[in-house]
Amino acid sequence: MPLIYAVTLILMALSAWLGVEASDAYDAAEAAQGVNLTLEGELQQLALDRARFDHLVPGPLRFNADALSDFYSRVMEAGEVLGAGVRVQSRDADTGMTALVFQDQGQGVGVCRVTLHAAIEGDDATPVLAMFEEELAELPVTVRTVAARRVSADIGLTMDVDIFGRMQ
Amino acid sequence: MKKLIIISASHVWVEGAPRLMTVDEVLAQSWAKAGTLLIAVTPSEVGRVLATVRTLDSAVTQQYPGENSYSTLLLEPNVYQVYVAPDELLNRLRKLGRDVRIVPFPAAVLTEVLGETREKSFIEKTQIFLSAPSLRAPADAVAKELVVIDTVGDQFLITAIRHREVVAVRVAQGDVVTELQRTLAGTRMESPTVICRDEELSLDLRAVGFVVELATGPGDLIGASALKLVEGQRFLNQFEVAQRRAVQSRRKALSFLMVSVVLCVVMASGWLFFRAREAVARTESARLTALKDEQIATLIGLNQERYGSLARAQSLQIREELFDLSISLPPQVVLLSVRKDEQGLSAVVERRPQAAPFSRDDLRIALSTSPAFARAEISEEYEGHIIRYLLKVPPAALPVPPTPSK
Repeated sequence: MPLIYAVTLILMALSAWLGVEASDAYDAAEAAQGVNLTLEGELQQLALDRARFDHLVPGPLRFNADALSDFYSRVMEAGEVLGAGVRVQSRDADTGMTALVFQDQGQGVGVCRVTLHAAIEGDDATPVLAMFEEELAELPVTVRTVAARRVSADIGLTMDVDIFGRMQ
Repeated sequence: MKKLIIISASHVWVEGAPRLMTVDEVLAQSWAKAGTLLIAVTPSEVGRVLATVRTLDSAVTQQYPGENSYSTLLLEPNVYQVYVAPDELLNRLRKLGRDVRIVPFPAAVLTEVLGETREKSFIEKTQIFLSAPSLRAPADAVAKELVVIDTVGDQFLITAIRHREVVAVRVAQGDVVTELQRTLAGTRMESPTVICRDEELSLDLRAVGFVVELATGPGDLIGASALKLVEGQRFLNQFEVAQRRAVQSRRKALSFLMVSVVLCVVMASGWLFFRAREAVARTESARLTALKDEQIATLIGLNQERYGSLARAQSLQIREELFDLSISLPPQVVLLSVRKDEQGLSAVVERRPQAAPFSRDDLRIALSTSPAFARAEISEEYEGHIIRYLLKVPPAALPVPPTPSK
């Protein structure tokens, strides 16, 4: 009899321990399945991202420094041709971040957010805009905002531009 | 199985015997070849004990001290019917054969008069257990008070029953009516139903005003046919009680053991199941992670090859809108500024000083042919003698900027 009670006690203790272990295993399994669900969602998003490229013509990204250099040379050249004063600054310049730096956007893409200012004498902004837009259309950049404003006898142009480059 | 009913020392009914025997004659017989002996005895005491399962044995020996054997039956929660028989007689009877079962005769009488002439099957017991309490046979269905009289030679065995409890058992001799009255006085019964097998006796009792039912069941004595049904209520001496308790205790311990084994198996199965599920999920995670890494690598390659085109495709341009506006505006106004962003397209025009008469409707008419500004919302702004017109086009036609995931 004492042996039966001892075995019973041991089995009860073992059951309790196994119960705790089973509970832990349940939590771990649920967590792993949650991770899987997240991964599946991410894979779906990646597939969508990939699908965006299916109908695009090749447009290679350059390394960050080269992309920035290209952008500068193009806009400065255009400014000289038009006789316009051109200034490029970081879009975060208001916060004191004056350096032009690329931020990692993921999947090997870096982005540098700049604002382009140009001032030209005259009263018609159309040829100036056309010039800049044609120059920028050949670069891996996205123009987010474009504005032209007449200031007395001058025209001021402002363009918020995202310059994209390769991070690696 | 040989059946004997010991009413008193001088009156023993033996199944198949031509006459009544005495106890001494019974003890002198050699019953070994009869196999099982089922002996019903008239208990020396009948009563009720208030006790729990754990305290029953001690309560019974305390209430009925001496060298006795006891037979107990649960009447209601914590209330037991107790039959007491002296060990001296029972020990002698137990030596009659190898398998001697001694039961209280009143229990058999009770069983027979209540109509429980056969043992309930397991299915019937289960059905009663599962049925609603209201559907079970109520206690009131049984006559409240009964007195059973068995005539054995010149003696009477009087068994007084109230509901399902035997309240008195007497062996009497002489005038049955007087003995019956004594029994009723002792048990405080007022007008019980009397059951007997003797027709003459029933007539005598009816003559003095008793309600009498004539028993019609098989056997010489009322209760003889139900002896086998009360085998479970055997008299047990203290050694047998201790043995029974030990068996119950062992059975309980084994039950606990079985429960703990089952619990352990269930827990172990659960643990294994969830561990297996976790392992499968982790394998799947590894596969999905590898797939994700592969996709990201592919996307990085695609980004390097084609992201430039994507960026250019999402670029905003304003030259067409500006040209459109410059040819649409009437000469009375001059364009001050134009802006295009995620919020839409907007422009500000100002009325030239000393220009010809002009109104907002004129401006709307002038822009009605413009592809970009035909649906523009026009509002006016005044600053002294200067009038400005604010044109706003909602962003419905603007493309959504790309947001590649990491």
